[in-house]
Amino acid sequence: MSTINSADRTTGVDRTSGALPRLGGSPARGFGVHAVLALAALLFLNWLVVTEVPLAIKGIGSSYLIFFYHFPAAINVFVFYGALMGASVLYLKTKDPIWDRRARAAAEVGILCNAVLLVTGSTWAKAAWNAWWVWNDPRLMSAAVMTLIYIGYLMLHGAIEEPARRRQVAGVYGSLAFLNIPMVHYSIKLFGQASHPMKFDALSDASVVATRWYGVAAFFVFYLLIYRWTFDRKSRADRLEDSLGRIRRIEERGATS
Amino acid sequence: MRTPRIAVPTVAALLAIFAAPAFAQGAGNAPSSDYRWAVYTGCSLVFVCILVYLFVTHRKGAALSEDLAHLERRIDSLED
Repeated sequence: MSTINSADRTTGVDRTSGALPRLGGSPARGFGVHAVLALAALLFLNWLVVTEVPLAIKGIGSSYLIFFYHFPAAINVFVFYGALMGASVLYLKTKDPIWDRRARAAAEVGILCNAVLLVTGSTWAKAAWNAWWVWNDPRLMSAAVMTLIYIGYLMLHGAIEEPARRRQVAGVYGSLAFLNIPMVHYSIKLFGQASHPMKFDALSDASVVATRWYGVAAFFVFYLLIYRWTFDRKSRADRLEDSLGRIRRIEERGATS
Repeated sequence: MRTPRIAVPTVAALLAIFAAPAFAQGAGNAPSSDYRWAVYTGCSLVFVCILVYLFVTHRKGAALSEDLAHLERRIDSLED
C-alpha cells in the first residue's frame, strides 16, 4: 500500500509505486465493521427509546421521543463544525491539501446534522407549540443563521476555480465561521427566552438523561461513518480532477511538439 | 447518476419516521404497544436502508479507486 509521505501533496496519489493510494491518508479499511457498529448502536438506541424511557411525559406527551434524535444532532453539529474549524486552522498552518479536504467533508456532515436538527426541531415545535417555526425565538434564529453560514462555506468552496486560492479562502472562512457557534449556544442567555427553553426540566428523568447521551455517542459513530464516506468520495474526485489536468498538459505538450 | 433516485425516498422516509412520534401525541398520552414497536421498526428500517446504501456505494467507490489508480499509472507512463 502506498504511503502518503511519497505521495503527491495535491492529490494524495503515490507517484513512485503507482500502487492504489490510501484515498488521501484515510484508510478505507474497516468501513464494513464501522457500518455494522453504527447499525448496532442505532438499533440499540431505538430499542432504548421504546423500552427504557417513559413513552409519554406529562404536558408534552409522546412528542418528546423525537428529542432522542434531535439532541444528538445538536451536539454533533457542534462536533463537526468544530472539526471543520480545526481542519481549516491546520490547513492554514501546514498548507497540506488533505486538511482542506477534511474540512470540506466535515462541513458536509455538519450541514447534514444541521438539517436533521432543524427538521426534528421544527416537527417537535409543531407538536409542542403548534407552530413549525417561531420567528422571534433567539435559539431558532441563531441556528438558522448558523445553517446559512455553513452553506455559505460550501458555496464559497465551489465558487473559486483556482485550487490554492480556494483552499486559502475556505480555510479562513472555516476558521472564522466557528465564532458563530457560542452565539447559538448562549443565544437564550444573551437575548432571552421566547419558546425554546435553555433546559428541559421535564426531561431530567435518569433514564431520559442516560438515553440522550447514549444517543449522542451512537449518532456520532453514524455521522463519523458518513464523514469517512464523504471524505473518500472527495478524495476520488480530487484525484480524477488531477488526472484530467495531467492529461490536458500531455495533450498540449503533444500539440506543440 | 442513481444517487438521487435512492436518496429522495430515503430522506422522505426519514422525515416521515422522525415526524411520527411528534404527530402521534394523543390527548390521553398513552400510546399503544403497537405504536411503540411501529416506531422501533420504522426508525430501524430507515437506519438499515441508509447504512446499506453507504456500504454498497463505498464498495463501488473502492472499485472505482482501482480503475483510477490504473489510469494514474497510465498517465505516469505517458509523462515519463
